[in-house]
Amino acid sequence: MGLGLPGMGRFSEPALLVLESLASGEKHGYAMMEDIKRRHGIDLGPGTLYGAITRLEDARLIEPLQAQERRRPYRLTPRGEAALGEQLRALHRFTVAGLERLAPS
Amino acid sequence: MKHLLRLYPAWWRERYWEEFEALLEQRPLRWRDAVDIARGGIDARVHQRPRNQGTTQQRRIAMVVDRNELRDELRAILAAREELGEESEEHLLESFLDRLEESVRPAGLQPPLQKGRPTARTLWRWTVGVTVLWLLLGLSSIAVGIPWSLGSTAPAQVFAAAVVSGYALVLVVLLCAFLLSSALRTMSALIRHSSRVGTSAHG
Repeated sequence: MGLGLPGMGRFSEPALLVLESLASGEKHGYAMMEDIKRRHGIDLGPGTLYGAITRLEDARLIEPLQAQERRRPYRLTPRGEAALGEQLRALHRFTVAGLERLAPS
Repeated sequence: MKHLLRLYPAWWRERYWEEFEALLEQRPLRWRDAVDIARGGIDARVHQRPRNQGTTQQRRIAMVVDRNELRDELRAILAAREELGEESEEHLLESFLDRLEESVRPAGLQPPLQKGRPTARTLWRWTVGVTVLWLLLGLSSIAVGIPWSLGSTAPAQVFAAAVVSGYALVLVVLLCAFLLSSALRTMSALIRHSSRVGTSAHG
């Protein structure tokens, strides 16, 4: 089980963060960065963010919408929603299993 | 910061430049961002491919679609031949060959690279190569010439000059070999290209 999105190399974690951010609705790049920083305390760099966006778009997990004043919003595709759900469930199983081991017997 | 965006390949800039630039304008940039953008640019060049090139399978599908179009084109040409007669045969054949060439480069795909054909980038590399060669030659001459011109026979100076000039000489020989092989390759490509152009112009 991978703890990031499979097939995304070093961008698997940023890609997962982008998908999670888009789960609450369409956002453009800057809004995603701010959302990720506010919710998870992770400050994604612009190069990393767009590396993840490019890969997610290639994998058809997100799709671009009409640009608004040079800023282009993105949204999850049904395939992206499914991939995010699957990944979050895998992470949840991992977390539960890990916490069980840590819990005093 | 815009200089850093040049690290990204042309297809990437064409697709993302505007929104990426808009993003950069929305927040204060730090040195960490500059490094991140540079890494992103290198990644885009090394690990990503132009989206319109597609996977091998997608390209095969594109060829199949074009094959069907070609079949229709051929049928139309054969029908036209029957109507127009033998005289238009050459023209129809040319038309079909044009269509065939298009099918090898389906719409939206990058044109295939033409190996050996000189480009502006090749000429630029040549210019840089020749300049470096002249600089090395000059440096080695100075390294050898200065102790002589000063009339110095100090062993340390002579040894240093010999090392430097010897080192430069090795580099010069390597560079010459590289430039010569490049020149031969480019010249043969030029000859092939001009003979192709000549043939098609006469044809």
